[in-house]
Amino acid sequence: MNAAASDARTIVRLDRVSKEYDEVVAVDDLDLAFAEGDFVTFLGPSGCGKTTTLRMLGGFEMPTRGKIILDGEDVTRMPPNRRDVNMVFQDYALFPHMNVERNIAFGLELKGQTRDQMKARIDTLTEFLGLSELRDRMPDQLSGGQRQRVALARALAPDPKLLLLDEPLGALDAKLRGQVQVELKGIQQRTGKTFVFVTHDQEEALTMSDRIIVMNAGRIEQDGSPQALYHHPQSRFVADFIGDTNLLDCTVLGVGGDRLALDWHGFTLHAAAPDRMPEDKATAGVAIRPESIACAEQAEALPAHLDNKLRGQIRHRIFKGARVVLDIAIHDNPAGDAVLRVALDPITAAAIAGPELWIGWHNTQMAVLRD
Amino acid sequence: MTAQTRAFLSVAYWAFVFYLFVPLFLMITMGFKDSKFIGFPIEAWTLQWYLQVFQDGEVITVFLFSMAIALSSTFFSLFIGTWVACFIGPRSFRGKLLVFAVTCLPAVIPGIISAISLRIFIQLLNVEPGMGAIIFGHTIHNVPFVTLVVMARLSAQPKSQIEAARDLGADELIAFLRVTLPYLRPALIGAGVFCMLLSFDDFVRSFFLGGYEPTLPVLIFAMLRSGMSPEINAISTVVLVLTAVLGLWAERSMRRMPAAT
Repeated sequence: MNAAASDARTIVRLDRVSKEYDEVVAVDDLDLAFAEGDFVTFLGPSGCGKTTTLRMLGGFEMPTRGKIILDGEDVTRMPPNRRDVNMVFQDYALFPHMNVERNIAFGLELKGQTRDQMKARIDTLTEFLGLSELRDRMPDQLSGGQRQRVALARALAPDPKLLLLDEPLGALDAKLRGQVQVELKGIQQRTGKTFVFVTHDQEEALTMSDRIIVMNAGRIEQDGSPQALYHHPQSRFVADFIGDTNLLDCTVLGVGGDRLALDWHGFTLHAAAPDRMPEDKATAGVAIRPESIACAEQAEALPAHLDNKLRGQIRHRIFKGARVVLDIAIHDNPAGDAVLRVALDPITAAAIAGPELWIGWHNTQMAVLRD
Repeated sequence: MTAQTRAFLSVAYWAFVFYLFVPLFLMITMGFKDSKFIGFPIEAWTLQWYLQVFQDGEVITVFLFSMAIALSSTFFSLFIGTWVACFIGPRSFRGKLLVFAVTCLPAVIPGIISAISLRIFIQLLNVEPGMGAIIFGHTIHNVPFVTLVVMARLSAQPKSQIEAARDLGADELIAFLRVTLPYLRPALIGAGVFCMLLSFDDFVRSFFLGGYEPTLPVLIFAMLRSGMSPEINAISTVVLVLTAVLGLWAERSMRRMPAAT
């Protein structure tokens, strides 16, 4: 049912939307369109404007400028009760004086559904979300995970065009959160609904999203698939915010074919030439993931196609369970500040006695940053 | 805390309890004494004063009259007090503190002052003293208490609850009636009982604003003037028991209410 295909129709469009509070610009000129059936995540640190954007979609904040078009209709000034959009709140906001069933029925009653229609809808949803046994419970008799599912059922009940989720997993403990992430993604795929999710947790975003919009200071830093964001961050902010990364400040030597030659601490490195490289740019930031770097005791043992090879010495060896992280000081670097972090699986790491070793990677694994 | 301090503090406490309960105890006891003369020793016990109270048509009428005043003034106080709390409560505006101070004023103005000024006021309006005037006076006095209690509860309500109701299709009025009002229930019960007790107990306003029909405290006052009688003890005991039960019930139902989730 997931309509993630590229020809999916646009369900909601933000047309140059800005939101200002007194002097502060919370959201700055946002231009976005969401495809129906997508799981879209706004990711960013607190104060980046992601929650304000979500609340504007829900109708709880009015944009200072710009338009919001929901399924072809301008809803910019429409109050929340008249929009076909529902929200799962950060604290779930269940009504404490109503049991689970009446909480879920709330939106249906206000839609003017008959008793039979409501019963059918509640039956379907409670079964779908595993709440059948809990229908008579009051909110204060539920666990955190159960409350979260009731909030989800209540928001899904009126069959909204868009479901907004405001950090709904923040209150759950780490173990449950991982499980709920997978569940939530499954629910989204089975209902085929468009989910707009807000989080500051990059792992959560990577796990669930079809598309991640990284925001910083009210603007979009990068917009793309989790894979694109992880492997090809475009800015220093994104590279730093998502996952663990090596950030290399290089001097540009020149473009040769599809490769960009860079100088890093006197070593020549090769990165894939970006599509748009400013001619006069003298320096460039480059990101490479620790797990994209291969290690071997001998240079010959590294795969032949790797066009970046360096010799170094293990400075730290950090055990992280599923991975072993090595901090490697590169040789022939008198200042000693050329250090790269490498993440290996434990078996490969065990085979490398050190401290001397070779490391290598391919030019396509280096992401040249915009700033 | 040393044992000495503890002993000292507990003495103070028990002295207070003694001072509180001995007069009540004496009053109750004298209501069962088989003699018109109040005082010790007690030679015989009787229930005749209670029978007399329950057979006394005037006492019953006055009791019901007081109840009617208490109920109606409580209803109006709750309505107006909640209205005012919702106006002052959530948003901040210029002069909020002043509005709040004015709201609280009737609670601190001496009863005699407010009673006299209300009496003059109703005369100017050509309103007859009596039930309506008393209800009016009690309501003005009680509104601040309702406002304070409801405001405290309102500020504890998560904003997201109202937003969730709005999100699910409720306009502002429906969101208030179906989500905020049930949330306020314990505050309204507590404030309501308090208002009823205040109204039932009030002498000064009822005396100044009343017509020919007395309320219960005014009646007791009139009876006292013609001499102390064990019948007064019996009336007072009945009132004491009723108000204590009401107060305890209110306290219990406020505590049983689920906390904000």
